[in-house]
Amino acid sequence: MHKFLAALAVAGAIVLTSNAGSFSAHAADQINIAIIVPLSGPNASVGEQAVNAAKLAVADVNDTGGIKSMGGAKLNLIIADATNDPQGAINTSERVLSQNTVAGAYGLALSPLTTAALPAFVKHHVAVITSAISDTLVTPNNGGYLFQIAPKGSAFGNQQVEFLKFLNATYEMGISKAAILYVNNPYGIATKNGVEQLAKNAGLEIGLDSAYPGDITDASPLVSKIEQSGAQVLFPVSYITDSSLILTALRSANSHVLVIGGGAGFIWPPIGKSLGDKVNGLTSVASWNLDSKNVVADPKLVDVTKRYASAYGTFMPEQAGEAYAGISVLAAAIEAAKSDDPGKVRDALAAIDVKSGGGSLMQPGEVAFDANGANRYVQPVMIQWQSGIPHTVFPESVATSKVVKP
Amino acid sequence: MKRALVIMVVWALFASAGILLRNNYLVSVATSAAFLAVWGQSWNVLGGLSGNISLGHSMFVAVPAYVTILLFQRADVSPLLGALLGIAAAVALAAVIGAATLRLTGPYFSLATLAAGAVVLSLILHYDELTSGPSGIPISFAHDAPEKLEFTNVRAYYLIAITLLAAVTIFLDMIKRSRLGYYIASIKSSEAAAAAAGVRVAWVKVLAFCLSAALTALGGVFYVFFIGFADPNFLAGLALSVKIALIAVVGGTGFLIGPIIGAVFYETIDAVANAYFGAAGGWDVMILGLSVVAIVMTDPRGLCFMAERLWQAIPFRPKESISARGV
Amino acid sequence: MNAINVLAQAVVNGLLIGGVYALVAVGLNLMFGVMKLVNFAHGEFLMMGMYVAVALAGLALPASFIGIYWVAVPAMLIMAVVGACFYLLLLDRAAKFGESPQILLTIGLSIGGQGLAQVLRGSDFKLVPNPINGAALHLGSIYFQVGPAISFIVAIAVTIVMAWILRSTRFGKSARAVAESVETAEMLGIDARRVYMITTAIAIGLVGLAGALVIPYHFTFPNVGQNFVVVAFLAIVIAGLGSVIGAVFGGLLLGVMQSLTAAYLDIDLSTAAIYVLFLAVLLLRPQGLFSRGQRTL
Repeated sequence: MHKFLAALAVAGAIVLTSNAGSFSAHAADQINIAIIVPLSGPNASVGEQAVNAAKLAVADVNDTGGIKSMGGAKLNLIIADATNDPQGAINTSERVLSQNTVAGAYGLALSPLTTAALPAFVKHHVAVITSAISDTLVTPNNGGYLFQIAPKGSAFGNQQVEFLKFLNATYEMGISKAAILYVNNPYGIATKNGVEQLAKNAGLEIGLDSAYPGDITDASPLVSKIEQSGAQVLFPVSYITDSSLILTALRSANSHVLVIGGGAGFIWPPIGKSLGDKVNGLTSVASWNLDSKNVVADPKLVDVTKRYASAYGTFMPEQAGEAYAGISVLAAAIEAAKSDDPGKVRDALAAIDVKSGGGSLMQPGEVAFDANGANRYVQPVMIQWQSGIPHTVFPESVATSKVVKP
Repeated sequence: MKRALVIMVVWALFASAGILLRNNYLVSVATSAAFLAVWGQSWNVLGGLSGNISLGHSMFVAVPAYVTILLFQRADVSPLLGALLGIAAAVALAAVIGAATLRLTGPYFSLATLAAGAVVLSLILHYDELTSGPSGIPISFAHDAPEKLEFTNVRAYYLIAITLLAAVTIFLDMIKRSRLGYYIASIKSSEAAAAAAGVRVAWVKVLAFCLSAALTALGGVFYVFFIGFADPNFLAGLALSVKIALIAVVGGTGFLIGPIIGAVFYETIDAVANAYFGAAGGWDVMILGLSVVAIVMTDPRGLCFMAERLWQAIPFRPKESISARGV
Repeated sequence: MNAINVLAQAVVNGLLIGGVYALVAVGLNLMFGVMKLVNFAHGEFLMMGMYVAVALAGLALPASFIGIYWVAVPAMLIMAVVGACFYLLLLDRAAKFGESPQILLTIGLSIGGQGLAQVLRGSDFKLVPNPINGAALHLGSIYFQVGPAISFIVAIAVTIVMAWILRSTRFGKSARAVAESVETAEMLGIDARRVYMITTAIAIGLVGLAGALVIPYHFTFPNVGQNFVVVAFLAIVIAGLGSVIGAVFGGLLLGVMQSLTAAYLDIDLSTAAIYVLFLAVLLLRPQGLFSRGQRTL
């Protein structure tokens, strides 16, 4: 009897789950694209930035005539929560890809989730554009369906060191000893590897190289270690809470160490809120920034950043910029493929070279992918907070503001 | 024996359903639910039979998974052999923890297992030269290779999972009725009385722990090939440990199939909430948590007991037998 | 930086963060001592206290010392009321459940609470601008971060008050009686359910206070409770379940341990170190460091 009830329960479960989700079949005048990013749990704010921008990008495409090569077909954005763990990411991706005809996708924001879900995309032959930065995502055996619009993690670290060299030269700071503190996850590791790579050649001695757990409640021990190492520059790679804790602990300790942030927590809006005007002068590397030369040069792109700001109450943050560009590139690929067949869209993405429109939001204003799916032209930018907003200050090719001596 | 037969029949039904079903997504969700159920059943050897709530069981998923993958990728050891070694590692770990926590009960035991699990996760993350640390280990393959536990069709993992589930369930049933089962139950009921009656309490406790770990590990080694990625924060994380304990208790630890029902319930609510509310930010998580609260408040013994109460409340239901009513 | 300074600073850092752990642990231990219930949703009540404090801080006074700290008492009182409701609606009935369902109930509440917070307040990270964040006092070459220092002082003050309440007030004596033996207490005319309700109210009120003290220097977001609560669990076991004063020492001890291991060992092992300390105490002295066997509170 119990078994009967059990079987009944399972049958019910099957009925419920099989009807789950929106069925978006092949409507003639609608093309489905999906955005699968964390929308719950500790990384929800990152996912939300991306979704906000994606909605804006889709609206912009649709308002200017949709996909013209397909008779003005409109894009339909399917939004799904990638959750916090690989199993959830796989399930969600599998669901979205099985129950809808999706031309292409954007996701999953974090490297572990993207790595876990990628086989599902390969299996369904759907290309996915990602802002995840791990170098291991763009290796030759990744199946050919992953397109990384962001710079590679190692490039971040490289750029941080280049910027230090620039500062050393420009302001004769004589910095020769560095400390690297990074959050213990693939993002932190990829970035710090980049720093290590270039540090030696730049004549930098690394006095401290240490991972820390992402959920720390107190950064004072970290600061203690920095002081002990005698480092003159700190390359921290942190998320929101830890970046704030580190910076305030450094201030409390009257530390004079120069901070060159590793992105994430150091460039997203919350740190500005936390430090108020004490955030001004802080420098960091970033995947994207709202006032790079390529953005400022195109009034339409400037308008995008303004519309984001007025719609969402904050300057357009990094993850939003990447999502806007990513969705726009996807739309351009569909346009070029003249089809919503995901295989053809994938081929179009592999061959595409975007020089205008939403895709050119990504610096330096041109997007194309190499054989492994890495973005050929993109380089990380260095920003400095000035007047409460991150400004692009380095390298020359993208800078629109001057560095204030930190 | 009759129970085993019923289980096998149900297994056959689900096996054919899985093979025939075209919907890959459903099969995939069913597979993850089945693995979760395997772990729930394994957990229940401790939780239901002996009354100890373990909140660190994910380490018995992670350790064997890592042993299997690392031996395969670094030392070219066949995953089948690696799996055996992985299970042995899990059992060894359980023996150590079981012996150490012999005198602990209730929340003390739970928190000890939670701490042990956290230490295991920390170690996996720290020794990254060996384990690849937080980046995890992807297992990518393009072709079937059964001897490497690599299958391109998710249905292969589905069949493995439900077979494991059926086997573990039958095994659990056998244990319950065996002498070991009675020893375990007697310890749960009163340790002092059991010891007085000659039960070797320490041995039985550690044995129960090892058994629970071994079964969990069995699920774990296949699971990691199913998801194709060893993410330490997930496999050895507190969230998974809590999930395993949660589904067993929600389903009903006193029922043989309790954890299975719990797993089905949890994965269904999770999938449905994610599908309908996922985009809304937080609703899916909220619905999941609050439905757990609702179930516990309705019947703390779990879904199976709730179902039983409902069943017995149906009016005009044919009664068992006249003689039972004492005519 | 000489070695003494490093050690001294590490100890200071540990004590200051330990103060917050202590405040969270006191309520947790009170509930366990009196009601034999481990509240796995305790972190979510901390989170809720933080959101309440942030909402209040946004209302009245400008970003200033008073502006950010006046919310502590109202937040605590509001959370105390929440605690009482928590008891009346859920825990009262759950008292008759076994241990597993109780744990499950609070776990479900924990998960659901995080989701609810995101639904109601969004996923963004909030921090009310204030002059405390980053400010520090200097004593020689040792620095004391102002925010954590204030939390520490309040934690100690609260401990003293709680100790007095438990020893000298009627409620305190009833609570200790109930903690010792419910049946005996009821035989003596003590209304156990009333004691439970007040205990829950105090416990949740205290964790709400902890939340309000933390908002000047720690972001508020739906999952923030998780960062603090696990250490609190460890603290109460190390202290000795039920010992309120012990809970404070447990929190401080763990804070110092965390700080020392981070300062001298690999930082990412510092959390593991706490767990190892916890296991060591649990295995060698299971009744905790501060319970003297018989005493339950």
